[in-house]
Amino acid sequence: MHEGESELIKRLKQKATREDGFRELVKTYQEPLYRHIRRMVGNHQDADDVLQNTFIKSWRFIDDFRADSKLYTWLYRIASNEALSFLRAKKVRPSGNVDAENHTAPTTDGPDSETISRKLESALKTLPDKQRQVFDLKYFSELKYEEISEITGTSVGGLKASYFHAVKKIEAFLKSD
Amino acid sequence: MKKEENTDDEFLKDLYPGLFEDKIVANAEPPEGYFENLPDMVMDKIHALPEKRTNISAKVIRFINIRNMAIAGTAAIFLALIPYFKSIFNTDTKPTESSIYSLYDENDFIDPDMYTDEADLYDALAVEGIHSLVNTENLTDEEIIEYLINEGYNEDLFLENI
Repeated sequence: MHEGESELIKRLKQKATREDGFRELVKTYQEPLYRHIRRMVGNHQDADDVLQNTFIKSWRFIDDFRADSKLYTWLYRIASNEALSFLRAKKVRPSGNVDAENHTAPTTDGPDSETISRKLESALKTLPDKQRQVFDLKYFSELKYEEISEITGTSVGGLKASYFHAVKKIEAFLKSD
Repeated sequence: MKKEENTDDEFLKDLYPGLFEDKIVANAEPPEGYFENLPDMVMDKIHALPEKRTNISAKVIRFINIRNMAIAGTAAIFLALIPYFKSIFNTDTKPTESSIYSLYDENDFIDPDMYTDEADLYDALAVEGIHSLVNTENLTDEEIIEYLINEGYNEDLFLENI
């Protein structure tokens, strides 16, 4: 991915190939970014708005991107900040109700998997925004603490504490009925 | 660091098996066809963005950075102080006490020290055409008063004392 990423960055930095390169960037990162944003904001409509804003912002500031960090870390940072800004502007924590547009997909074999998934989604919505962000990046996106630290600007120790608290709360929520 | 993360994951698995034994995948699927259309939607919005205007003031500010401003400021202060430094170091223009000599044309001024004798002084006055002052012995009071009046003095002052 490193070689592919560096090639993509080169194309993005040159005016002649920027648009093609950017389309490829969108295709490559749209799914993981969408899922991350969706889990942050709670519904598809808002996730779509935030995701498009994320890509537009990345287009505008692509010249400022320095290759000292990875491209996807940079994109995740923009996406997370956009989602947090959106939630702050909305000033409403997403409700515990499951999104009506939720298209469920079988997660693991077993009759309770869908129930557990829905319950988890509800549990996520009870977390504070930043804690939810950390949990999402660690549990679902499976990023390392160092990468999450780059995205959020929080120390690794702080992230670990935040993650443990989030896990504890979610586990308690899942066990409750 | 990877080892440490693995340890953390194992720890969490033991502590909270519900979350970590079988990884739960949250339901976050978009409507069908969403990802196929997203690149076009994003590019359409990007093409609709207003063109970047060249902000002249921002360019100027960028050019005149702090270092340049400091250099320009120092040079300006130095140039402004040149006349002051010039006046300090130029002895010709050193301020001196005002001199009565500078008020008169040299031809108008008769330096009494040039003459050792009162008679010589009178002769000098005569040369200047001040005849009436040369021969004061023959001057009458009336002549003196007439002279003073002609010079613009108030006659009441003299008549009062006579």
